[in-house]
Amino acid sequence: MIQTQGASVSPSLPLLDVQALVVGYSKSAVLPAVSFQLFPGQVTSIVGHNGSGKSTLLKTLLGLNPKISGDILFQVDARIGYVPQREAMDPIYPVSVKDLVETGRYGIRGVGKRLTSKDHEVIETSLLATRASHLTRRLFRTLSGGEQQRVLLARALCTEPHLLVLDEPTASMDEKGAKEAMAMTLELAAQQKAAILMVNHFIDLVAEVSDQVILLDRDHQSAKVGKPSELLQGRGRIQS
Amino acid sequence: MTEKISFFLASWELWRNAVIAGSLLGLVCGFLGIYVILHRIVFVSAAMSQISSLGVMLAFFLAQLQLIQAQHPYEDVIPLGLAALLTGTFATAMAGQAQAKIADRSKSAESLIGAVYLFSTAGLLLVGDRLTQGAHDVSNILFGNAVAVDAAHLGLLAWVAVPIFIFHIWLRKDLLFVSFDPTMASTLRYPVVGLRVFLLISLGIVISLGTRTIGALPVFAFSVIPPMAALALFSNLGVSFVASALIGGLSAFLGYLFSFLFSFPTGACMTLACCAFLVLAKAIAALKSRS
Repeated sequence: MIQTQGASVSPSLPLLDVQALVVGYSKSAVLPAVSFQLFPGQVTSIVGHNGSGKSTLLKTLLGLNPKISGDILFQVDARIGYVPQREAMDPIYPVSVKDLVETGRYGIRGVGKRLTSKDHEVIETSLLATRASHLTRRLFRTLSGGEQQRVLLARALCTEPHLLVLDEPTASMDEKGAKEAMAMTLELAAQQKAAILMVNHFIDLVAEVSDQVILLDRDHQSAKVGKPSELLQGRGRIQS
Repeated sequence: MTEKISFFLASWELWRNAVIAGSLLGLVCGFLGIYVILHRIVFVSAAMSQISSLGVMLAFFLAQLQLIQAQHPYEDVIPLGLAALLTGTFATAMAGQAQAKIADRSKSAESLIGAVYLFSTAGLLLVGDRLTQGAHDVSNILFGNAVAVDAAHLGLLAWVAVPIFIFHIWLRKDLLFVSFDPTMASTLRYPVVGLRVFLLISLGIVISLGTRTIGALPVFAFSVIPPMAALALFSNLGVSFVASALIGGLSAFLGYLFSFLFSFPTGACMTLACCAFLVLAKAIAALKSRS
């Protein structure tokens, strides 16, 4: 389980403090220990080749996968707005955009309770901010990739997050689309003073927007943490 | 034909309990079946029907061996208890598998479902072979031939199925959320495991009770075919839930009527009534997509 400390989110303390974290499956480590801190408003990107352990690290940080050892400390009350990969959403579900975005308030609302007028206000604001208001009646599965991304971002914003976690937000987008999507995400995260933790393959984009990079290389068993200028020089797009 | 229908209506007192029981099960299984289809766990329902039947048959067998005995009106307590125990264990294992899939998408519950289905079916055949009550009882449990349901059975069914139905209506959006996006739900610290266990256990209880009351075949049919028809017709999930429940309930009634009119087994008639609705729904959906 993710441990929490302190009483409320403080801008001067790390939102997330990861110390000597070893991740893997069935007690078998896939990466060496990794340590880093993530402060409010900061952008951290996880990069690495396919199978390098990015998803495992992300899932472990989110508490979805048990850690092997080490510490993951979130400030107490740190709310997470998670933006999954679009492909993770099963198209068999005829879920409308409105119903999908509403689920972003469920964590605050609680099981079996109705949404309040404040919840509806937040939902409308998030949809407006992501330019998705006109999509509310559409089924999520019928949207284009870019529209789906905006809707998932709107849902994540509904959680009023301290940390936005984005799993390959620009996957299957061209460079222009990826830049536009990232610009919107960064602007909205900045408005909410939210930190960003993301997995991304556009190295140029990562270098441009990130304050910190976690570079994973499973083949060489390395997990480096540093500034983009230190770790990403001379690298092109990493294949997913 | 008119005479037969008049006779059916005139002797309504005789069929009332069975028709109400079937319709109630059609309604509840139809509603719960939406999750079954969307969750892609159709064969969970089949495996639950089978393992639940095995529980009932085992109880008959233990009674035959005089290892257990129950007096009227409690003769159903042990069969239902055994059915619920086996189904509940399976449901809990399934919930565990679903949770493991959040961390590792390569994990699949398919093999567990297959193994339980095969184990239950083989067990049913073996136990059925040794039952002196014979093939008729086995057939009734597996395929359903509930020509008469006594008041105690109907009462028990109502006491269990109606509260489950109400809870499902209340928690509909939460259950859909943890089914559709368990990862997001987990990051919101939503009780994903608790809701999944509730979903599967309640499904297991309804299937166990339904299997004992009207047989495994119609119960399986109600939890699969009406939701298929409803989801083919409507893209709004709320409407699909209502339509599926209504199709399930109506199929049970029409199946019973057909069974009475033509002296066919009730379980098969209820299943075919569901299939007729599915064919109709698919035809309407095809027409809608053309226009």
